[in-house]
Order: sequence, then structure tokens, then C-alpha cells
Amino acid sequence: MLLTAPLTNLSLKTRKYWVLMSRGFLQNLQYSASHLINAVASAVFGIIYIYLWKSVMPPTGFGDYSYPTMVYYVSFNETTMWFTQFGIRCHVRIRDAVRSGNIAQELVRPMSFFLYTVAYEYGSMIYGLIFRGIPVGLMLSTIGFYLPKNPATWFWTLLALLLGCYIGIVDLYLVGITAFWTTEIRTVYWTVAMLSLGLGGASMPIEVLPAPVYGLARWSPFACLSFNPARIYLELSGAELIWPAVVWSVVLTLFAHRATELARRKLEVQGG
Amino acid sequence: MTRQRPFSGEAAHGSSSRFLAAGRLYWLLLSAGVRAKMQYKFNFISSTLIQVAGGLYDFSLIAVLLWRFKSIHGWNIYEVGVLYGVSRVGYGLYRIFGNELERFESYIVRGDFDSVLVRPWPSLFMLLSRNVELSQISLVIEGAGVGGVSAMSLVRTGALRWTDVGWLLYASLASACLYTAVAIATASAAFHIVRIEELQVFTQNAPSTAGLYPLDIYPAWLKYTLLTVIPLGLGNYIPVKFLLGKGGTWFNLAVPALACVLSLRVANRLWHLGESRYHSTGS
Repeated sequence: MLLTAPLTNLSLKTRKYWVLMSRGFLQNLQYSASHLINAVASAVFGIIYIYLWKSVMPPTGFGDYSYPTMVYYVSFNETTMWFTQFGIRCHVRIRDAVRSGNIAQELVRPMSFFLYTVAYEYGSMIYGLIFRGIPVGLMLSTIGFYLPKNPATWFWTLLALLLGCYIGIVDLYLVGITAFWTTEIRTVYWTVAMLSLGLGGASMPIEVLPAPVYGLARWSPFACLSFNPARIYLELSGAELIWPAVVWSVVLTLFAHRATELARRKLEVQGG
Repeated sequence: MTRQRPFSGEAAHGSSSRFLAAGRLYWLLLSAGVRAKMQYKFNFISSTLIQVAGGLYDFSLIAVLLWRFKSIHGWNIYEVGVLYGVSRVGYGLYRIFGNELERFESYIVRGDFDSVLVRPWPSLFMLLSRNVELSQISLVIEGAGVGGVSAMSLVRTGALRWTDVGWLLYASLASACLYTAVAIATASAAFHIVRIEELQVFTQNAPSTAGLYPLDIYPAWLKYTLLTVIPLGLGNYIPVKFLLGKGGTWFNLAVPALACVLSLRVANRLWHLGESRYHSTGS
């Protein structure tokens, strides 16, 4: 009994985050019909990029990428972007809560505000992958979608995506936290969003970038959002690309905890 | 009560005075909107700068590709820059003056369209005069910057004549009209299906991105969709292709004007059709 007590305690602790994640998933479910329409538009974006690549690539390809590989790269990223980048809303919710003063109630909950936010968002992103990403992938599979041959690749890709999603959420959580100081988060958001898309390799492999920018992008947390998972999935790189994601997850978590602590002290409730 | 004969001088006078009154009202409402926006000058300037930077990201993607691979289907960076400029300026002008169409879904969902209908002017006119989204001038600045620099380079190399710059401005205005027509047609769908945000991504955002590149790179179905059902390519690609000597005849320059007239008429018809089916959500 004494031995099982800590385990029971742990399962109770994790259960509340599981419930939050389910809520995040279920709340999106009511919009699934309109999200499916959006998936058609997303597939069109994928088609635009695929044909753009077709028109610019030399017949010999570019680096590790032949034209079919680029089709797979774009198809994979258009699918997984709905899990690691698009649809994250935690920054908006934090900003709105700061503006309305509801943030005070959010912070007095007997649980970590950071984990509460991340758990809810994670559920929402799992929904994004299933109802927005996978339909896009199915549509783009008519042009081309790679299926890895090695079973381990599936495992490493899943791990890379789970970590990528986490990094994406924490990035925008930090954007939201800046609202405690500035109320308005547009500038910070746009900066992070552009870096995520540009250095993340969502629309093109980052090897295309000029060498100094590539060096920067390769080791940035943004590469963990699209570029690294795509390279693992396409079997162009091995599981070693998981490590940058692990390191960035730890660093960003520590940073987010510290930022939340500072924000708590800075809290200034708006409204009556 | 006297009845005016159609096309009589009095009727013409009546319609011209109504037109002038509409112009005055539009100006009055827009200037009130601008004054309201300018209450927050810092917010306006900062959001404009952010959006210019954000927009330049799109062009930097094209620039990186062209830096690495030299051309897109035979179009060099300056030629793509001109196409990009025309598309962006057109889209920016539409977003400045037609932004209420972008958020028309909320009018239907919240029942705010009732307040538009009770005014003694056509509902589309009242809707468009409600707001001018000045911050979208960032798109015009960005498009004019990229397009201007590219056009100047082409003029220097002789690939474009000075007089063609006027045609590029005309193509930008035509693009703005076509974006407006597509937006009106999409907004009309809200009268039937209420939720149109996702549909707007399909009919406006995706075609707007597709229009930044030469349409010849796309498969036939996508190319012809952008030249017929969602005719945004008629405003930018068709005239720019001719001006850059990549095919076509003088008729390519007439196409945007004809497309604008036809598209606006169809869009207006769809709007009226939708409006006649409108049911308020109010209590």
C-alpha cells in the first residue's frame, strides 16, 4: 500500500492534465465540418508549393532532394504543420485573459498555469492533426506521399513530432506571457511566427537558405517544428535529429517556468 | 405624384445627384473611420510596419528560391517581382476599402446585418463604407516597393518601357476590383451557409498566394480555375505576361477591364440573391 501510494498520487496528478487535453480536443470537434473545408484550401497551398518546386528544381535535384523527395517533403509538412505550428491559440487566450483581468482566476488554480495551458493546447493540436492535417495529407497523397520502409522511422518521427508540437506550444506560450508586460503581443507574435515558418523549413528545406542563415536555422528550436521531423520521416536523417528537440524542450520549459514566475509577480489586474 | 420617365433629363439629374450624395456620404463615413483609427497613431504605425515585414516574408521566400535556382518557369526575379507587386497592390487596395467583406460572417452570426439593412442606401454600399482598414496599406507599400524596384530594373534593361508602368498601375487597380468581386461573391454565401471563414481561405487566401507566381507552373485545372471561376489571374497574370513579352496580344490588356465589369456584375447579382434570402438571427 505504501509502495503504491506515490504511484496513485502520480496518476491523480497526470489525470487532470489528461482531462484538460481531452477538453482541448473535444472543444474543437464541434467545428470539424468547417475545418474539413479548410483542409481543401490547405491542400491547395500544398499543390502551389509542389508545382513551384517542380518549376524551379534542376533535373539533377538539389542536395539530398530530388523532385519526388520535394513532393514528399511538402506533403509531409503541409500535413504536420497542423500539429506543430498552425492552430496554436494559447498566446491569444493568455493575452485576452490579461486584458480582461480573468488571468487572476487562471493563476489561482491549484495547478501549474504553464502545464494547464500546455495540456489544453496539446489536446487541441492532436485534434488539428487528425481533422485538419491528415485530410490534407490524404488529398496531397494523390500527388505523392512517402511511407517509410523502416518501422523504427515511424517511432522516431512520432517522437520528433510530439516534441515539435511541444516546442511550438511553448514558443507561443512565451509570446502570450509577454502580455503581462506589454498587453499587446502582435509584434512578438509576428516575429516568432515568421521565424517559425522561415527557419522551421515548413515550405522549403532550410539547406536552400544562404549558408549563415542555414547555420542559424539548423540549431534553432524552429527547425524542430518541421525540418527535423520531415528529414527523419523521409529517411534522409536518423534519430540523432531528436536530440536538438529534447534539448530545446528542456531549455524552453525552464525558461517558461521562470517567465511564468516573473509574470505572476508582475500581475496587474485590469478591470473592476 | 409625378412619374419620371426613364432616361429623361430629370431622371438623369436625379440619378447623378444621388450618385453625388452617395459619394459625399461615402467620404464622410470613411473620413470618420480614419479619424477614429488615428486616435491610436502608434498602434497604426507599429501594426503597419509589422505587416510590411510580415508581407516581405512571402517575397523573401520567392527571392531565396530565385537566388538559388535563378528562374521560375523562365521568369527571373525582376519579372516575378513585377507580378508580385501588381498582385500585392491589388490585394492591398481591396483590403483597405473592402475589409468589412472579410469579416462579413460576424455580421450574419451576430445579426449585425440588420443595422445595415435599415439604412436608406444599398446594403453593399453601406457595408463597404463602414470601415476603411488603413493598416492594410502595408500590403500596398510592400507591393509597390517590390514591384517598383523590379519594374525599374526591367526598364533599365529594356525589358519594359516607361509607358508600361502605367499599364502595371491599371493592372493593379483591376486586380483590386477582381479581389473585391470574389470577396463579394464569397460573402454572399454567408446568407445561405452562415459560416464562410473557411470558404474565404479557399476562394481568397489560397488563390491570392497562387497569383504571386506565373500561372503556367500550375496544373491545368488550377490555372483555369484562376482564370475563370476565381478570376484573379485575369487582373495580374494576363496583362503582366503580355507586358513582359511572354506571349499574348494587346487583348491581354483589355481582359482585366472586361473581367472587372463581368465579375462585379455577377458578384452583385449573387449578393442581391443572397440578401433576398436573409433571415435575421436577432430576437
